[in-house]
Amino acid sequence: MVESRICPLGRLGEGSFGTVVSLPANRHAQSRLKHMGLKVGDRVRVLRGGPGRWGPTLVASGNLRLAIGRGMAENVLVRPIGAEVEKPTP
Amino acid sequence: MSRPLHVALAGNPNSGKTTLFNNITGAHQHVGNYPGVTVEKREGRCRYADRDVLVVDLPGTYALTAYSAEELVARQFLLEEKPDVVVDVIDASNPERSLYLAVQIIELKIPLVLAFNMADVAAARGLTFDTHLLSRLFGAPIVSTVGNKGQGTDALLEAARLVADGQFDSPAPEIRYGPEIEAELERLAQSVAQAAIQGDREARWVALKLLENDEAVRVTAPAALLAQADAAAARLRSVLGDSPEVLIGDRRYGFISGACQEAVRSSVEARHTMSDKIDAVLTHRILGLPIFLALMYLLFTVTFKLGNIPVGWLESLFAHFSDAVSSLWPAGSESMVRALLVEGVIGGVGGVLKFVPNILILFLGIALLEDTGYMARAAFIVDHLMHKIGLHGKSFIPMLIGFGCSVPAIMATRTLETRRDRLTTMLVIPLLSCGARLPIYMLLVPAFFPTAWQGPVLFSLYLIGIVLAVGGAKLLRATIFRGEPEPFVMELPPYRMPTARALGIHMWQRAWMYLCKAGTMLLAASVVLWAMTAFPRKPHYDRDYAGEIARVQASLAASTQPAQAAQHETALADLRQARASEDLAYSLSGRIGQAMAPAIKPLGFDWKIGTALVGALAAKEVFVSQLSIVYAVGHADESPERLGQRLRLEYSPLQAYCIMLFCLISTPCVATMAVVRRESGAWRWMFLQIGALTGAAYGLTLLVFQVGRFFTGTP
Repeated sequence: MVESRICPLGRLGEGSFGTVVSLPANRHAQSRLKHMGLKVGDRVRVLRGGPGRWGPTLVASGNLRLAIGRGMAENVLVRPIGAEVEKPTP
Repeated sequence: MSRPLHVALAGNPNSGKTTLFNNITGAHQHVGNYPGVTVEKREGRCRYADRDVLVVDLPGTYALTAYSAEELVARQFLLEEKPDVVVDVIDASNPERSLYLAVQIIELKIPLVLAFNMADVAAARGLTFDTHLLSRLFGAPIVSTVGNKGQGTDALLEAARLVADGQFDSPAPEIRYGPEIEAELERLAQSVAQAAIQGDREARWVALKLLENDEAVRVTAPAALLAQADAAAARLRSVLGDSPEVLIGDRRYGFISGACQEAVRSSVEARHTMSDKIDAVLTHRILGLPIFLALMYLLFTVTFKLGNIPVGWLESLFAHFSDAVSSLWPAGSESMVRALLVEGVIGGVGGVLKFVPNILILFLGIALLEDTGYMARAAFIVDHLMHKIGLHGKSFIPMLIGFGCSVPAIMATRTLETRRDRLTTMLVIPLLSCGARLPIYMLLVPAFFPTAWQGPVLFSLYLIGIVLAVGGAKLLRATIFRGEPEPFVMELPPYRMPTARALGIHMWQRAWMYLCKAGTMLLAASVVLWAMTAFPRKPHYDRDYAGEIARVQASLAASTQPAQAAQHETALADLRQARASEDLAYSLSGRIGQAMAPAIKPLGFDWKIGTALVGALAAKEVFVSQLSIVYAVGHADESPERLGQRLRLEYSPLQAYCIMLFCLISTPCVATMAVVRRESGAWRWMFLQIGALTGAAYGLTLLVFQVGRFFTGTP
């Protein structure tokens, strides 16, 4: 089942997948994320993070592993992708 | 004979740029600073095809904006120094991200070579490149390299030579930003050309930066031009619905992703890699922090325990050297040259150089943490802790380096983006016990504490420093630097097996910085301080030492029984020491120490400690050489390693602890002061730091000594 409710990256549970819908409005923050390789439309997986966790959210996007601070993770919006995507393609 | 080829090496952090730099230049490197700023500048040389090649390793950056000091420095270098060719090191596993910098270099119209580094890792991840197509699209030759295996170095130099000589025929692309932006750009470029502000830069590039709202370029433009640029930006925003900065960036990404869509194939879905498996443990929500603390503890234990073996060898080497030099003069000689050489030079510098093994091991450990990629994990793990004290997770790295030396640590605060974060970190760094305090601890801890207590005592000093740094940072953030901390984004690079060569170069460069300091500044400081202890010489002693010594010597010569002879010898030594004490009390440094004595008496310090504290201003480690000179004055033939035993006779363990505590907290060394002044850009931060640290040191040492005295009952 594919859930389509948009939520902040920081609320995405550990191990979940999502598609980046929007980056922070703050121009500096936005350009930092883009320069480091995170763009709208990228598929991300939360390696460490989720609600109720301290510290930055660690996400995987392609070959990148980015640690995104709490504040910034609240301002990156993602569309969660359902569980069937978690199965690795053979 | 052709002129040397100037090559600049650019690339993202973690792209393996430094490894390639090491491969190209080998040991022929020079580390300095870019003029006016303290961003590290690494230069190296090599010879290729009968031509001298000068390589500059630019700071690792993701882009060339004006947001960070590194990016600005890299951009200024490219604009002003105009290298013959830029080699942009691309992380082949993340081509799209890495190529953004390449596009910005193309915009600067500088000949470019792309090094697709870590090509083996990219291949293992199923990435294949149509390098011919990519090369044509970017107008630059592409060379596959594997930095840590030394592959592709010659091919890279060959490509650089070709491009620099204009023998590469594919033209660099002109990046187009869409009709609306192009129209504004053209108009703005004409105005830039009319105002003639572009200097060596292209008018189009200046116009582009003005549209991008680039602070560093805006300050060079007259008000009329700025108004024109702002009007253009406003028009674009109303037509295209977003700021030109974002739109221009998106066009660059559009160009890159277009190119990659055609020329990059990914055959395997990105999934769990080995690196992720390691991260599952090392950044584990529960295990992460204990592993981190254990690694830090291991680092310091190895530094001290393992390091002290060669320290012992060096100590005896210096003792022998000292004896050999002494023996050039007749026994009991009062020669000033001998005193200068043995006590001033060998005693002073030897007392510092023997700690080089500790420092080498510490820096090797730090290099290992950096080169394996663990350093970024460490910052990730402690980010929430750092946030609690109002600092950035990234502040942790300069603070960790602060345990090695405050000077590079303060320089490393440049990775922080806001002045507030930088200043807070910079101001508390001296509280983290640097390598130069180590000689003080290594002298006093073994001398005053039983073996079982040595580890805990040492650990307590480091811990007090950390607690005070945390408290200090919290205090600063609650008072002078109020406000929200900067948003945090950091890349965790894949774990890598560090190469011995890279570790060696890394360690050597840092140890060399320490050695240079020891070799020049410390030698000078030691000699000056020795002179301060030797001059002015007392014209008339309170007692007739010469007469008394002559009488005792006569009795000694006449004595027949060994017990009697021993008694005379002791009397002789006591006389010499009494005279030396009188000499020292009369000398300049003795007078400063004595002037300080009433003020530091409540801390348990005497005037000799005061004298050594004055010396510690030059550099913390001078405290040791100063003490060794102060005490060697009475015992000219005593070897340096006995200093600890000598001090044991004078002070209690409580006093020794208070000395270490005071040295930990008080005024940083002059080098730290200078770098704080330079990095903060204002004298007031330096004075604030000196005042606050010295005040805190006094208060805390007073507390510890008075409370400790009450409980231990020592006088």
